[in-house]
Amino acid sequence: MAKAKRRRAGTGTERRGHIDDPARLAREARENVEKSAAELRKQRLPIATEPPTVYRP
Amino acid sequence: MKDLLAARGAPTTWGAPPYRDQTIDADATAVRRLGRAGGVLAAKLAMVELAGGGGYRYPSASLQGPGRNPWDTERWSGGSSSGSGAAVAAGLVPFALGSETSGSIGTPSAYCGVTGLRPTYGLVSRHGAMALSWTLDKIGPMARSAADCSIALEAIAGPDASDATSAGRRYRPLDRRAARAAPKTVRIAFAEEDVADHASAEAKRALEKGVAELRRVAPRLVRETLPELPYGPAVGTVYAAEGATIFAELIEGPRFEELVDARQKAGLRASLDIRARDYLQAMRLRTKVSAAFADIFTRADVILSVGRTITATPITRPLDQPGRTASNPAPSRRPGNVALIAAGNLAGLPAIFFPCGLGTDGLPVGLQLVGPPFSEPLLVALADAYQNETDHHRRRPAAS
Repeated sequence: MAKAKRRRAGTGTERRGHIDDPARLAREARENVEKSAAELRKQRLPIATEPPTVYRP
Repeated sequence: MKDLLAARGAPTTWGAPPYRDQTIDADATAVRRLGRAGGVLAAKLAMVELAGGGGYRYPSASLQGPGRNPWDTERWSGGSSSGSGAAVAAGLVPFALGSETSGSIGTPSAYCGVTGLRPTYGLVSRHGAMALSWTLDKIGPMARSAADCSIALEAIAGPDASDATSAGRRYRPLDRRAARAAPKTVRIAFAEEDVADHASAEAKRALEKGVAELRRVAPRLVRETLPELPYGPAVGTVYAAEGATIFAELIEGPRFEELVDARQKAGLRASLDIRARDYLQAMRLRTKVSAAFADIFTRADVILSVGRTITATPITRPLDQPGRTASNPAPSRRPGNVALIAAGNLAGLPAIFFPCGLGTDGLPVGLQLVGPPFSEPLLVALADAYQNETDHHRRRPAAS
């Protein structure tokens, strides 16, 4: 029983290590960028829609 | 003040280890103006590293460690103005300056039970403040009451030739008569699902009570909801693209690995590759978001929603684990106006966050009011009227 509990605790630690794995984080970050891009591209905006601008010559 | 603002003679770390030894030999405009108004700089306050622009996983994502909440030091004080919220809630300072790109004044205000005022974009100069997003960043006060926020905002707002995005406007509160009359006539847009569908079990009762109390002060509630748009992806794309550009030299340099949070590092790296097409599409969407708000403001004067749907989370809990966020509600729930923080920031609108009680876990919860550009006088008058009839803003955490 105690051994099983220790194993479960160990699993939690390993899981935390896993979600913080740099390779996994890099992949997820790239996926997030693509997911956001896909959401934005679904939006159909009139061709005349300009972004707000702060550029003033 | 949040350690994102430069102050002569003090370190300015931006909460990030690569800048631990940075000093900037000048005062930010907001700091200089507070000094001129008689303010005394008591402390530079901890913040999430680089204001969290890469998307951090842990509340400990800071050179100074996790922001601890005075109501329960095992809970987070919120981010990225973590120290500003905690110091005001603990009574260490009467007010503090925070900054918001998307949620960084609102979240710590809600979690710590203080009043926070996010000004209209351009009302307060950003000169001398770390830039995370040129088009989203706002500097604003966090205090014990709306009246105190008003005093601090009056001191720091105004035109500034050093900030090209300065709106050239000043802030003056409503006169007494107008402030007294405002709550009786103001039309407040509200969607009941913000509380009914989205509030956590701990926060729900206090939020319902807060809305009922506000209704007694300002009775004209009308139903209005924002159109369904990808507010979260839009605001995230804008600040990620701008932030990664601002910090590109750091990201590609030898000190980048010193940042605390591994997820934030991955997010910043990936953000360097956001396409111009997607950034500009997000910016174009801001035009649509502004139009949607303008439409609502023909039928309502301000919009009411929750500050946050949950109470402060444990400092050990990953922030990307609780599941659905306000800007990304579960499809089965009605969206209401729960994306108001992301939407309001996209449109550069002012907001006031104020406490409305304690959740069943003894932690603060609060509401927010958002108005049209430069409606700070009305927002302050409404929150002040609410605070004159209630005492939530006077509650303090037990000294420990």
